[in-house]
Amino acid sequence: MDQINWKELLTKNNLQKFFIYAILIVLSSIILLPIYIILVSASQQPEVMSQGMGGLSLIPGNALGLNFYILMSNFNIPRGLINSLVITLTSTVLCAFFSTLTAFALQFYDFKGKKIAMGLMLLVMLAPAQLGLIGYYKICLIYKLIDSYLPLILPSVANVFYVFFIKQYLSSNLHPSFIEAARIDGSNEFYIFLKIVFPLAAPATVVITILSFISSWNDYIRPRILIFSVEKQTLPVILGNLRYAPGGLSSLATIISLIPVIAIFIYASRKVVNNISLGGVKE
Amino acid sequence: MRTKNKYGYLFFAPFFIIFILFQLIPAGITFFYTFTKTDGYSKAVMVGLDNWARILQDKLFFNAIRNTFQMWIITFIVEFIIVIFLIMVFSDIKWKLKKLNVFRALFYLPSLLTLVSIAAFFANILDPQQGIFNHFLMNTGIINKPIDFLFNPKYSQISLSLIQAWLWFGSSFLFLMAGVQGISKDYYESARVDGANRFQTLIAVTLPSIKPVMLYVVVTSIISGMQLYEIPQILLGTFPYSPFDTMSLRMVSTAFQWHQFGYGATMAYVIFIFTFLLSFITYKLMYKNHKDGAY
Repeated sequence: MDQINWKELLTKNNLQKFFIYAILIVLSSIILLPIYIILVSASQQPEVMSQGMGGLSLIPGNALGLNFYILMSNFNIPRGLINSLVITLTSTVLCAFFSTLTAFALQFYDFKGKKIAMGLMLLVMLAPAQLGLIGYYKICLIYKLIDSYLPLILPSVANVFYVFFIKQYLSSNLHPSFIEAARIDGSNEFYIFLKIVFPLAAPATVVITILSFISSWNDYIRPRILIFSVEKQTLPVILGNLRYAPGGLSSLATIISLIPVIAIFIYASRKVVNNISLGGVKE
Repeated sequence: MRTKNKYGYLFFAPFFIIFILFQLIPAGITFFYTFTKTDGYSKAVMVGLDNWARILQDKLFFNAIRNTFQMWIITFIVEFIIVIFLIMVFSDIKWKLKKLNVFRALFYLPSLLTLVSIAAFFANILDPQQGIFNHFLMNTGIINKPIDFLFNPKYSQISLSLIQAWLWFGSSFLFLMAGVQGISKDYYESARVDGANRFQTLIAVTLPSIKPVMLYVVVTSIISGMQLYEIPQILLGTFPYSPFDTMSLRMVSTAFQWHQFGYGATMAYVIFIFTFLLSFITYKLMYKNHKDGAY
């Protein structure tokens, strides 16, 4: 009996699977180990960090409170957190709303110049963001927007990639007859967008929300160039200033900056699950 | 539909206004600046093609171009070997691997971190005197002397490329796997019936079916590779002839530190030209075989 079981277990297929899982686990460890070290080093004594982390650093230390105290008394983390939250939340909401609205306009309406506009959008999508950086800075100088949050928030209304992403989703998931039916029932166009298109586009919009939140939250180059006042600095800029501080401080700040991202990730992934069941109704 | 045109304009207008203000006009201003000498504050002086002539002889920028390309190519190769392997094993219908969701989320994790923290972290663990990585290698006897992985020119570009690959392969995998999951299982069944092995299935079924996503992922890799900025900036800052001196670092420091906006703008357009050419070549290569009916 035993022998037969072994033979069944040791088929070529199972052996291959075993090796593949081994490779996947090694790969996961390579991903996780640095993140684990960041977590652990947030609780290391500053002396441990400066003497070298060899040997000790995989075990949590007892200096979490101390590091927290040093971090809070030397760097204005709460202020940076609030600044970043204000910028990121506003841009994410604007981005989700206007990307969907624009995608709706491009997918379901015909208007003059639409083709030219879309061509321009495609061209700009290929251009690196930094192409416009110098001109963007100049625009901010002209409109006196330096050291203000507006130039960090407003551009999120116009992200070409996100618009095309949602448009693609609408084209395969929202039949024009839905809109026709709503029109016959006498709804106005904006009501149709809010009550029909926006909820049905939700699975795509949620993906956009996550991507936009992460990129706005982690944006480093634009706030670094545009924001001069210390009290207006965003979290990534403060994190950048922390790079010569003892490792524990930088790690702790990293963890603090990661919390909102994880929160939005979990919240949004739940939404995706809910909306998938919502999408089923329309079939 | 026609009578509703004005709503089309209305709904499209907010996007388009911001698009023109913050993307089109800045790109236009940058282009205009390539023909001028200006510090960004005072009036621009037209200098014709001087900036373009200067960039052709700029050894420092040429060095930055070489650095950018070397690091992008290493990143690209490492990242795609991993991602293609992952796609092959997860699309296989005989192995039927489980926990795709878990692995996908794990691999995506680094993309959630702020780039500046990642740079600070790697600077910390790769440090030759204090870093845990050198301690580990010395304690296990792999090396005798600490190696300066970041600032020894022999290793620094490879280290940086590997960090980049570590960062981004999860997000490439996420996008490509979404494409793979859209492929009908029937194709895999018939490939199996025809006696195709795993590599043949990968080449003949999986890869051709995810071409559009693949194009997107490759172009994204080109764009982020050509404008590599944050990690080298945090690791070393900007200084001439460093192994991390990329095109973007040079561009930002020329424009915003030395206030040579005209010359910086020219560098920005050189980055754009490289990005555009590479994307175009990729597109041509990927869609060349399509017409021949090879797939």
